[in-house]
Amino acid sequence: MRISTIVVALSALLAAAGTPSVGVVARMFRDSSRGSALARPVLKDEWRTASFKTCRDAPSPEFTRGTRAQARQEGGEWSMELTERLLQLCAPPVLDNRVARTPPMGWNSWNHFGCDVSAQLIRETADAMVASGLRDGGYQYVVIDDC
Amino acid sequence: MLTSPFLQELESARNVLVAGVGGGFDIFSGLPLYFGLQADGKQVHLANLSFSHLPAEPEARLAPAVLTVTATTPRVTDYFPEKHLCQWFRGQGQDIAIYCFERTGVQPLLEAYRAVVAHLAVDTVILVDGGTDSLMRGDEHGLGTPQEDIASITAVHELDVARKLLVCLGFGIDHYHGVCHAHFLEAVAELTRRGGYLGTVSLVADMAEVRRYRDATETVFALMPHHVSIVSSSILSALAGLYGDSHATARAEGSRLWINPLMPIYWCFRLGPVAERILYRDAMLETRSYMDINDTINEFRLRCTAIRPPMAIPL
Repeated sequence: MRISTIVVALSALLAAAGTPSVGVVARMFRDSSRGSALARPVLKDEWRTASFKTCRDAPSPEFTRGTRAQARQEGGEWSMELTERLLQLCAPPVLDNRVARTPPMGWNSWNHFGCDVSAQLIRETADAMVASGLRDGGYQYVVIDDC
Repeated sequence: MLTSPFLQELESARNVLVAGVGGGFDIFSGLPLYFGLQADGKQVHLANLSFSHLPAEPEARLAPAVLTVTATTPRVTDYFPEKHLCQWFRGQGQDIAIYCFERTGVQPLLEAYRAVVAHLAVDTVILVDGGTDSLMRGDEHGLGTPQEDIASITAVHELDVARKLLVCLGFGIDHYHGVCHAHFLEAVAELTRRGGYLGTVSLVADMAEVRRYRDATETVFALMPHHVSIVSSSILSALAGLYGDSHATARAEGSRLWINPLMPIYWCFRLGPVAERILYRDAMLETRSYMDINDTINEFRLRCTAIRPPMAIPL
């Protein structure tokens, strides 16, 4: 057997480095009658500005209020200012069944690095998770494992 | 009188490979057995599934996934318990080799085991687990860290060797990793019904084999102060008569340990029945990399519709 695992939230790790908090990936509908759009809020200073790509086969149950007025199209992509209310509406539906919406999403040092971990390696990996967009995609855990 | 079936099984063994099943310091849990078999006049060799960053050293490899480590093998990182153990042996006047298996899929591991078994011409392989999670078959609430244990068991089960055995040392230790020990005891009962349980062998501090085991382990701990094994230090604490939440190393700080007199007992099994009850063994056999193993276990757990919840031991 092996032993000892430490889990830290990526946002906590990055907060210490002065990086903005994790954004959300939200599904929203640009037109209630035709298709939907996937919203990916941009991080840093403009994190409430979203861009959209059409996703035709997604259902569109509730999101019709006030979106078209705020959205604009540029080069085939939709963008809009997300208000707090819109962020709430954009959030994926949450079932009240005590089951998480996704599995815990993150990275585990053990699978590749085994015993050879260091503070520098973990920080570099966390930075890479941000730079590659993994963090924005919801990968929020960094698991530090040793032996 | 009252001879252990495990020791009876070993009477006719002549050439034995004692191998750590789950990596890290598991090999140290095999040392009392190693010294005991040697004292009985048997040829004995050591191997370990290794967590060390092994150097390439192609000339010291019997197969791609196994390196023959000695006291002079170059070190890549600070973590190298097998090399330090070889150095301890050298200090005792014995130059030994330890066959170190890479952390990989079952197919490369099996090829490596076959190469070692052919090289040494052993008639017996004893896998050694520091802990008890190697007996988890897959549907228990907590599996501990099954990747390495089950890979080794699956590979060794395929070997064409007369005697294949498993011993577990350290009852209670895997609680730290979420293993329910009622499930372990239930597995022992099931293996008893299947003819796979060979009884227990107790270690006590005054045994010559145990004194050497302690000396070797504590010497290596001193050489690797940042990687003191929680498993091995717990067993040594139990051997010294400590009880309860006693921490010999700072690494387990924040966790509640249960050092107890059941820890320094070898639980002994035939490997065949242990391997055959692993619910995802067929899929494990196909794995070629460590990531394959992770995927296999994850997929099995996702599909498993009857995870057995933890049970209390009613005492």
